[in-house]
Amino acid sequence: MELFIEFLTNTGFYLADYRNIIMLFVGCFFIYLSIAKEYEPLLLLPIGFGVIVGNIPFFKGFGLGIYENNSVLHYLYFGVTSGLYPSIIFLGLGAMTDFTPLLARPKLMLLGAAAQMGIYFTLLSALALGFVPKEAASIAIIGGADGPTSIFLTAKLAPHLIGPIAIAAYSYMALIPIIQPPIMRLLTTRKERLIRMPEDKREISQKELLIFPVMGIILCCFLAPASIPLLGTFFFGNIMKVSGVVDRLAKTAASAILDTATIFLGLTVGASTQGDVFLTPKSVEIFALGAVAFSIATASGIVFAKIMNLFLKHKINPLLGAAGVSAVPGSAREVHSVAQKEDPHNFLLMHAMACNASGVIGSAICAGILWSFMMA
Amino acid sequence: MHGIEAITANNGWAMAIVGALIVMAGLTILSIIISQLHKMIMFIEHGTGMLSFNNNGKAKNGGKAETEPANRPDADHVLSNIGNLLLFYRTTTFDLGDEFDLRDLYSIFRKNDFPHPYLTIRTLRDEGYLVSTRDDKFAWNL
Repeated sequence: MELFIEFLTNTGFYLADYRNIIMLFVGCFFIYLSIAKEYEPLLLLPIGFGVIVGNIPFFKGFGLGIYENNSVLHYLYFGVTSGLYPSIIFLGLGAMTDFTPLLARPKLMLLGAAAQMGIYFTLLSALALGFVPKEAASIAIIGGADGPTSIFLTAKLAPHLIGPIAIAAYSYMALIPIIQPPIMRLLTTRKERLIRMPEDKREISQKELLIFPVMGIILCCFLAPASIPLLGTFFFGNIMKVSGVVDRLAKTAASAILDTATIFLGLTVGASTQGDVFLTPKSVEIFALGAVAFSIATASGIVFAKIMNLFLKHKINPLLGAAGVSAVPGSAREVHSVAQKEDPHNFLLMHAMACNASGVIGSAICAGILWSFMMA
Repeated sequence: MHGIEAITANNGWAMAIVGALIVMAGLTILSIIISQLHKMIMFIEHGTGMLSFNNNGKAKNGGKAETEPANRPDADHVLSNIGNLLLFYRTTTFDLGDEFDLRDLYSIFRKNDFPHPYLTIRTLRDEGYLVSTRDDKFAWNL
């Protein structure tokens, strides 16, 4: 009987804390969103399940928890804390990214830069709320709407915040269809949303596609060397794809390698949200600031597009500014669908993809810049 | 410490302004470079030819005229006269017969190094110089 009672005291039922229960509901909710609503299932399903895994109460000292040195989860989590998974994910993203829309419309690259203003606005907001600079920079990068970049920078600057920041970043990426359209409609007139973008009259040559990743890595990483781990692999993945001589490697990077990193990243980030370390007032503030960052990023892209229109002969559709955040391809899809609601014959997807690709580069540069600032 | 005082104490204003300027400058430079990339490639590939063509065939050494550029048709004249250009296309594709497949036309354009073959064909179709006949075949409408 004594043995049975001792066993019972070691079960999750006995050890459960109200915070674990809350997080278990959160995990279930993420799983529901990913399966029933199909909101970013590739991310929310592993994260949601990871939240459940990480919040099953256990007896401390058995080497089970993600924060216990000798646990399996801890070894898997090393890929997050070292910045390994984000780099691998960028390799796969590079191998999947087609820069043709961007090369055909270079001026749209500016919208990708403008949308990064949300990051700097949030940096100021986080500092004003009392976060130390390294934490503020990690929170600010949520405005880039790029999960791997957010995790990478947070792992370097404020590893204790990886859980809430990763969850916030991925949640807002998943909630793009809810967050972005109201901002788009608020900041644009119907007439602006009806602007059609001209079709490209120029074919992008293979040579341009080959030169771009080389030029991109040199220029971006000379500017912000701290972004090498992200942009280095990103452009490497891309040149593998466009060169056509290592198709097998490019396909593997874009499929098996990317998928493997995504699985372990999602699972371990989810598991890092143990109730006792995740449910704190700081997390609530991070979520609030993340929402601000994402909204400001969307708004700044749109406003910048409107400013550009003051000087351009052929106006650009300001909705494209919202695709400057690097949530690929969610925000581009959303821009396209908002434009199509006004005019079913207005096709903005390729233009929005150009802004999106620029946003990926922009947010990685911002991460490098912030990291450099904090190391100075 | 909170509020503006915290931002100032942590050098927040400078970080935000400099950071925003760096990313904006970086992507602006990159966009300028990629907007000129095709011209650079064209210059590197056809640089010598372009220079000599622009110099109306004047040779770079010894004042001797290059024979090939001198025999070339005046590009501006050809391009300004759409009739000549269409006739040129038709003559070049004479071997295809009256009706042809667009893929064959594309191949000939590529083989002859015509600039932007796909766009040219699309424009010719849009303008009605190239019309569909039957069974996915096309013919000149000049």
